[in-house]
Amino acid sequence: MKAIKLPSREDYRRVWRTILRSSGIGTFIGILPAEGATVASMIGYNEARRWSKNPEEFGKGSVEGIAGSEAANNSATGGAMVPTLALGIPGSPTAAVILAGLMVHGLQPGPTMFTEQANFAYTIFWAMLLVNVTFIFVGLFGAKLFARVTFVPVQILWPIVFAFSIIGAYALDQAMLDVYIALASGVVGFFMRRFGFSVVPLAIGLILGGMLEKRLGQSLIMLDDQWWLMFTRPLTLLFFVLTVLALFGPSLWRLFKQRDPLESTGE
Amino acid sequence: MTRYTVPSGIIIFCAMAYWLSTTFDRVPPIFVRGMQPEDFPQMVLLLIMAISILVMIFDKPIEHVRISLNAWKSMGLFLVFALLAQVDLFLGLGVFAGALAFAWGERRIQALGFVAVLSPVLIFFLFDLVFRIRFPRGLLTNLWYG
Repeated sequence: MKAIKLPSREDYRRVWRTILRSSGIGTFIGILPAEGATVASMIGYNEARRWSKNPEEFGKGSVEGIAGSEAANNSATGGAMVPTLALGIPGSPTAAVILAGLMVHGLQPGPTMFTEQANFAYTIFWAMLLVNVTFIFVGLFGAKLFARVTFVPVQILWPIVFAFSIIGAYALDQAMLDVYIALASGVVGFFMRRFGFSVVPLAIGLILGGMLEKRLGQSLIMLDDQWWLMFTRPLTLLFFVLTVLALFGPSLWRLFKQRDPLESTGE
Repeated sequence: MTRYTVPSGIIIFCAMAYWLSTTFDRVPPIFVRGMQPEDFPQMVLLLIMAISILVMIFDKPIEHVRISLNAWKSMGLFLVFALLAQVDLFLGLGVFAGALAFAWGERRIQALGFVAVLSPVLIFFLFDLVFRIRFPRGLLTNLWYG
């Protein structure tokens, strides 16, 4: 057990910005309907790498990478409760189970819940706070035990992981085509990483592509094919601006820093 | 390989896919539901091509590490798995898992047996009995399905 160590104070000092950023990302992604912890953790990891001073350490056990994905992963759970409780729309599969549980007990999540069943709403808030505090202790005391899986030699671990991945790909729709797509994606992903391309956007595109197409079709019907009207809605405009910032923000930031005369002269 | 190789490959692939999308059947206006079938893929492909061009212009050159023999062996085993899966999914999994462990340096018989035989069997029963997943019939799965 001695070989496994918990993060030091120095580690926390290095990653507090990443934790804050990823927590924000995770909460925001969690609020969006049909997203989930997986998408949040992928975006959290990607953003952590994009903003990191040491992106080359990612994929080799970088503390920033772990903090980036895990902070987003955990905060997405809380975020997913926002549409679940406020609108009655589950933000993740877990939230859907919670929603079903509430409805079984005769509760109707939605805007009226906060006025008609306010006591219950606050009970949920307190329960979530307590769960998160409890989770700190479970994580701190259980981490050493859970981390021992990393001591299994890779030549044993990876073939088993492969078997689970393949069966998981098959089990979703019980189609062999999915297995072959998983294999091809593995090869493509390997070469993408080898040539310095992040595989995260590809994975997000695969998860969200179909949904995006469907929603775009619905929007066009609602807007009577006048797509430019999308840019007149504040919320849509906000998402477009955020997308542009996410795409070009880090590059522009680097460019801005390079042009800083004090920094370029080393003063 | 230069930094232009991968974006160029992506652009060529997207151009071919774009051409393929022009052969999609058009939907009568009454069923169109906002857009024609080729509209969304074409939009995504154009976006990917635009971003690939930006990558060619703005990205820093990347140093590429030589692809190791083990990586090629693993990819070759993918092919073996794909072929054997035609006969039986779990036969393919067992052979792949055992051969991969061997190719990556495992020589202990018990470990190889665990990876190649025991783990696929346990995974099969876990998914079959607990999750009620029906696997495709094959040489080995027929022993259970009858």
